[in-house]
Amino acid sequence: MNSGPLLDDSPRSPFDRALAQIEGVVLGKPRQIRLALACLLARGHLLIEDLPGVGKTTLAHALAHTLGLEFTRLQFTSDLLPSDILGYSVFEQASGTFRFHPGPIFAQVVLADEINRATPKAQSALLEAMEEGQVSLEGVSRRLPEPFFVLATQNPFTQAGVYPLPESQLDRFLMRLSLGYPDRSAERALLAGENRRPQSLAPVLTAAELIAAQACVDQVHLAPALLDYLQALIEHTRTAGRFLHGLSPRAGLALARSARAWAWLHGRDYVIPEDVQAVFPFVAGHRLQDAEGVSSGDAAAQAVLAAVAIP
Amino acid sequence: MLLKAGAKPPRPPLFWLLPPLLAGLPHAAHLPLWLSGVCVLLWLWRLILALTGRPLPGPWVRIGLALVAVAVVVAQFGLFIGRNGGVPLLVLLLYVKLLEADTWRHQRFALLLSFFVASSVFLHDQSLLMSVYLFAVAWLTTAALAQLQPLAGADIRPHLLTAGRLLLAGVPLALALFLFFPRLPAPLWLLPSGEQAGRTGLSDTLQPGDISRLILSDAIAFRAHFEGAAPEPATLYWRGPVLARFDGRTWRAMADQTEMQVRASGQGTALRYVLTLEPQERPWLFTLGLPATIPPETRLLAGMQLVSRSPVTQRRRIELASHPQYRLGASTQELAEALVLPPGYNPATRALAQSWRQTDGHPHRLLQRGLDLFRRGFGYTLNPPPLGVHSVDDFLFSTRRGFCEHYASAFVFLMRAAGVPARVVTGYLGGEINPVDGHLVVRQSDAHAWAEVWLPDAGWAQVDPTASVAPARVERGLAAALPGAEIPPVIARLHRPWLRELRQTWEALNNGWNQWVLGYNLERQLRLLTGLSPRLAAHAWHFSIAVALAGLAVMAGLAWVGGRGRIRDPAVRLYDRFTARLSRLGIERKASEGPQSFAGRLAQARPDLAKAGSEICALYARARYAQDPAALHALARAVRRFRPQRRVGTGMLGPW
Repeated sequence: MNSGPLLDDSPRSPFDRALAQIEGVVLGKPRQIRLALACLLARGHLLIEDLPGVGKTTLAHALAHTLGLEFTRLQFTSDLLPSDILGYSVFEQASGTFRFHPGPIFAQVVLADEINRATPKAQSALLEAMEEGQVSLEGVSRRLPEPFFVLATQNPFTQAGVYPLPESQLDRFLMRLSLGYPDRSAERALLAGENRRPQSLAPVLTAAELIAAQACVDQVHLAPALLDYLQALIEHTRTAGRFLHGLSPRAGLALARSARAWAWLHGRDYVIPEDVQAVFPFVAGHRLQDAEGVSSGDAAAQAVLAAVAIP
Repeated sequence: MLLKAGAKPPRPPLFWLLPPLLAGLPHAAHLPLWLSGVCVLLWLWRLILALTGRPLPGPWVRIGLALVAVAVVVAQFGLFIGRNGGVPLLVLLLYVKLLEADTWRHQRFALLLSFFVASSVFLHDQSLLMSVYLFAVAWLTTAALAQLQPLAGADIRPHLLTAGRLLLAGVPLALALFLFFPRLPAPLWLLPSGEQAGRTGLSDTLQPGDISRLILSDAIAFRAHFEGAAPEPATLYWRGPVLARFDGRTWRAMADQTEMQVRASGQGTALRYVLTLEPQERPWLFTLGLPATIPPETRLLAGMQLVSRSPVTQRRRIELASHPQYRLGASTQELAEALVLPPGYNPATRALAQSWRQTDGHPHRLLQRGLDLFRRGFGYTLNPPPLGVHSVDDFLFSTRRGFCEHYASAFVFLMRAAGVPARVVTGYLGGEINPVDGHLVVRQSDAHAWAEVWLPDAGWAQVDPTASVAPARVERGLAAALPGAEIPPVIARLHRPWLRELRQTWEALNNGWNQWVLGYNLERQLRLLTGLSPRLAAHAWHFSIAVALAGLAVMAGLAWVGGRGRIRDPAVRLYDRFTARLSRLGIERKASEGPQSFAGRLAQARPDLAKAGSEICALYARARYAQDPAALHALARAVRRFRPQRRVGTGMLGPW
């Protein structure tokens, strides 16, 4: 993850504070934290994939607490039912009507822990919520709160007892991150107990501030030259022949939104190619499947970046 | 955002106003004074507006001005067709256009119009000097065009350099077009005429004083280039109009102006030469004796004078061959005319001639006596005393000082009075070889008059009475024959060696221009093609069209290669220049490397370049991806300044 170019740091102040705070909890992973914030600013959902015990849930907790958003946690298991996620209606004898009991999905930040341990049936309950921002149950559509952000973690599919997310579900996540082992000094600090618990974090942002920031991100200028670049990258994944499928138009939009958010986080009101390059492996990695199954999606994404010239 | 073509320049450069002024300047010589004045006023108006930054006049003022311009030109010159109406309109509208030119688009248009106005000067003047001037104007105009673009600085020098390179790059194509583009036998439109022609020159009448006035001009009459070695100038009598009718004061041309009917035969080998005549009002050509051939478009008149069928109003090149030694017959009419004397004039001369005739009537001896008469007591001068009614009497018996026309005139009168048919021939004597290009230059100051007498056994014989008075005139030229104080300034100046050399060089240059550029006509083009390949010449037109098409194809190909895809962002051009300079130092930008990453890598490879490099990369990112015009300007400046040096001390170290 550190093979990408280093960018100058000039983050915006509330996000600067949020970043600093999360860095105090998730040690030695500033890049991943920044990507997670960018994902949020781009109105996308985040998938964190890694081995158990490297801090996935800690990161998700830290994000949720720091952002000061309404937060629910959903532990996915193999016996989880859709109604456990979305909610259900019960008959109230007092009023003589059915009353809807909203499920844990009705929150601003939903932490879907170990999402690939649930059955596809339960997983797909998330689909509409993630894409449309609403839930349809018993013929009634219910809006989810704003902002709505799904933070999912999953174990690598080589682990036992997992149902891999189907491509359609993967495509709904804007980015996929993995954390990896902490470096030596971070691990040392962790062992020494210098870090704080995520539950103790105080919110540094309000929902209104986040929504305003998201509006700013939409205004970030994406020059025609960069549209050319995005198209070249997408075309390369479709025509190079090393992937089973190329990137979808939705992936292209995701790339553009992420690059805008990344640029804004770095204090620019215009996107530069490095912004695209910084987010590309995380936006494209989980959407690309190597045709020969040799390399991981991330490595393949880096290869694409190296192969496409910047116009 | 991107700068559009119609965008106003941020800081208006003023240089673009100069070419329109310079392009219009030569037209002032051919336009009415008031029109030139109006043009200058319009130009000054625009200049003042540009200097003060005040807005240009509104559309109604400009439309009004344009309509007035059209009306005025039509009123003055009639319909604006051709050189005489079209050019003034074009010039006037150029200056009206300046008042409209507030954006680059309009300014570029005004500059393109300047090219047109500048090239229309050639309709009046095609001289070498003017061509050099107009080339300079084209250069400045191109530079001004180069400045009217987003990245241009206020300094014109780099644009002059660019324009120079562009013009030089165009030279091969221009040369190819000049050599191979099909020449037309006659120009499509009216080329320079009239104004340049016949300011000075021989006339078809001769009065005492005519030639001595003419020789004050050092204008070139014609040039001659001989095949092989040029003959001695003293032997070169360039024969022009033959004057046979005398009214007591003025000599006039022969009555018979039809083609020569009498027998004539040349002796010895013919002299071949190419005559290049300067424009004049007359159709006269000048030959050395009897023309061996009659070139096309010319006639040989009675009196053995070669004339063109039309006046030589443009510089004309003509190939001639003639026999300096010849025998020329005469018709009875000619002989009768050559004996006529105006009744009542010059009784003393008639009496003298009668007395000679009674002593010895043989024409040869009469001729000799006439020439002997001049050998004693006569003086050669440019400023002869005035002559009375009996001009020949006065000259022969009292003043005895005169110039060639006096001697020729008096001699012919004397011969006629003695019963020998005689006539005056005018033309030029001698000339001067220009050592620079080997051409013989004959000037108006070489104008001369001599006599021709009829000898029954030899035909018309050329006699130069001036040679008896002042042999030096014939042998060494006018300056040698005249008394020192009388040498005209134009001739005296020529005796300063450096001035003479300078002038010879300049005239040779001009002659080369006339011969090789202006005189390159269809005939010579065909000859060139024949020289290259006879088969080519047979298909000259096909060849020319093929060359033209090939040229167009090459240009189209270049345009396609150069402009493939979309129009390149100027920021990319600048950034490419920057990376190219670095790649010479071995620091290559990867195609997939963004500006920030490259700046980072550069800073590691060359810490000394880190600051400039990251500044340029950041400006490039702003200019290219934020599309910020200010960053583009700053980038242009920064890249111009960026001259990275090879790192000193890597590899081989100095001796210290």
